[in-house]
Amino acid sequence: MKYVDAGYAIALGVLGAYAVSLMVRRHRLERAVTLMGRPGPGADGPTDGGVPR
Amino acid sequence: MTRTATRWLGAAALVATAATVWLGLWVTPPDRVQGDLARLVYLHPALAWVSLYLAFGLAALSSLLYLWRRTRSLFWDRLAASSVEVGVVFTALTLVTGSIWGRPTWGVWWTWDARLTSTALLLVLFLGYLALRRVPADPAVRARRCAVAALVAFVDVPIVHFSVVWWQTLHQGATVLDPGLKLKIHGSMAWTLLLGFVAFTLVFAWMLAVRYRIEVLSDAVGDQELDVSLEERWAEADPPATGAAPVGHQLGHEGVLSPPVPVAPPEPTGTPR
Repeated sequence: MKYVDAGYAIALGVLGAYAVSLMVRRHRLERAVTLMGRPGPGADGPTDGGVPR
Repeated sequence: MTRTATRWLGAAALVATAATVWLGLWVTPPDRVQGDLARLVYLHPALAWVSLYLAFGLAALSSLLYLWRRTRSLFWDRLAASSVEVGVVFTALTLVTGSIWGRPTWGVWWTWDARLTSTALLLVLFLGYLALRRVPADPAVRARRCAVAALVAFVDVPIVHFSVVWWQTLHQGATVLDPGLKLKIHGSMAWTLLLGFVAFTLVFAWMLAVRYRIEVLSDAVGDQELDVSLEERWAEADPPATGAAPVGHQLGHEGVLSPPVPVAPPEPTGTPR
C-alpha cells in the first residue's frame, strides 16, 4: 500500500497547496486593487472581465 | 462567474474528491492481478484527462479564438493562460503518479517509453508557454505570440493519445473503454473511476475560475501601477502650472504609453564654435 498512499498523498497535497496559493494570490491582488482606489474588475459581479464581442 | 458560484463549485469539487478518495482507498476491492496498486487507477487517468484534454484542449481552443479576427479578445488570451497554468500542475501530477505506479509494476521509476516521453515533452512545451508569457511585451503582441505557441504545443496531445497505438509501449493501452467503446471495468471500480473523473473536472473548473480572476486582477494592477508611475514621472519633469505631458511622450488608450513622438532638434543659437 505504500506506493498507493504516496501517490494519493502527493497528488492531493500538491493540488491542495496549489489551491491555497491561488486563493492567497487572488486575495493579495484584490487587496492591491482596493488599496489603489479602484474596485477590481467584476468585484461584485461576473469575473470574466472582458467577454468577447 | 460570480464569487458565490465559484464558492459552490469549490465545495462541490472538495466533496467529490473526498468521496473519490474514500471509495478508492477503502470501499472498492483490490484488483485480481495488481492487488491494492490498482487503486491508483482512480487518480492517474483522471489527472491525465484533465491535463491533456480539458486544460490543454481549452487552451488550444481559446488560442484559436484569439487568433481568429472575428472573436479576438483578451478574454481568450487570459482563459488560455489560466488553463495552461492549471494544466501544467495536472500534467506534472500525471507524470509523478504514473512514476509511482510504474516502480512496483515495471520495476523502474522512469523509462523512455513513447507515452511517458511524449507526456514529458508536453509538460516542457507548456512550461515554455508560461515562460513566454513572462517576456515583457505589448499585451496584444504577447497574446498573439502565446496563442501560436499554445497551438504548436497542442500538436503533442494527439501524439500522447495515440502513442500506445502507434508504437510498442510499456504503458498499457486504453484503460476505461476498449476501441468498441465497451467499458472494461465493472461494478464499484467503474463508478469510483467515473466519480474520479467528475471530481478532478470540478477541481479543474474551480482552479480555472480562480486563476482567471487572478489574471484579470493582475492586468488591472499592472495598468494602475503604470498610471501611477507615469503621473510621478510627469510631476517630476513638468512645472505644475502647465500640467502637460513631458515632451516626447503621450499617454495612449487605457494607460498604455504610445511610441515617443519625434522631437524637433533645438534651433541653433548662433554660438561661435
